[in-house]
Amino acid sequence: MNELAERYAEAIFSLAREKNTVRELKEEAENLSQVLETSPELIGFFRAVKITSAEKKDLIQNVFGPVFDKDMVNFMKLLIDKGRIYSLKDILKAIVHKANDELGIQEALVYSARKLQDTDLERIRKALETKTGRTVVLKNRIDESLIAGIKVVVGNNVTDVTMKHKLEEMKASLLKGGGQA
Amino acid sequence: MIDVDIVGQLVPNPVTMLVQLCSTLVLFLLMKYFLWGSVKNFLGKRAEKMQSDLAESEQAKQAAFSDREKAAVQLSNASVKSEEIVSAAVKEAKTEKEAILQQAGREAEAARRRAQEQMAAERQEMYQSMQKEMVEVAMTAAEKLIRDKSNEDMDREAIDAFVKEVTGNE
Repeated sequence: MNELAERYAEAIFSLAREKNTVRELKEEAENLSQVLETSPELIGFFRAVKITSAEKKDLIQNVFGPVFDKDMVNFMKLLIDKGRIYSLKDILKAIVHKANDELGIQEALVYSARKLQDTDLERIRKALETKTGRTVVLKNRIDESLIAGIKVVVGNNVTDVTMKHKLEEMKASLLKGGGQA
Repeated sequence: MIDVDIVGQLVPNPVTMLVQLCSTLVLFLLMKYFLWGSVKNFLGKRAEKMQSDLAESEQAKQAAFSDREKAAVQLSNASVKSEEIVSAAVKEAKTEKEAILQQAGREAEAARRRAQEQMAAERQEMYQSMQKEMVEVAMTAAEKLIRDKSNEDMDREAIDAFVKEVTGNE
């Protein structure tokens, strides 16, 4: 995470903390991140030099004004004025990260070859909550190359219980000349 | 018949003989007076020269003997020295030969060792390459087999293992 994104994130995050709207800010940051993911042309619009700042701010007001809190809308307009809108994605990530820390939330990803059933995800989530002592928000990502099993990523920790990983270990062991699989 | 006065012919005429004796005497005296000194002097000088030549010859002979002895000694010394030189040269040549042979032996041994090491390395590389290929084939086949048979039960087994590892529960 770059320092610039951290500084801007800290600014709006402090405001939300004062207003006790950290959870709402987190949700808006996640929603906005999703919008940017699904509509990359929006980033292109914000970066376009032929479009004036006023036009960009009008768009922000018209598109996001009705659904987002006015602090978030004003924050985006500020980024336009400061010419920092290109860092919006990193800033949103930093906001979510700070909000998670504030709310005691730990995000986790579980990769699997198939979509996991809700009951299985719940078991994993509870196990992680027991281990971390924090509220875990678990997301399931599909990766067919894993063949079978799961890979759980929590922060920098990775627990790999996939068949792909086992095969790779077995292959490494065989290439090393060991008989242990 | 030839009339020859044999007695007259055999016995000299005394007068003639006397004249002849006188003339001989005069001739002798003249020769002694005029030639005796120079002849004697000549003969003395000749004798001295011959004596001197003889002495020089003797000296030369002695010098020749001396030179011959010296030459013999030198020859003997040279012979001894040459034998020593030849002996030293032979010894040095033997030493050099031994050193060359040892060096050649060491180099041959090193070359043999290098060749063996290279062969071993190539053999190991080939072995590893074959092993890698076999493992790749085996892993590809295993992956295909597992992928065909993989299902949610396998995922659930993994979840069970994960939950057990994380929580420490049985």
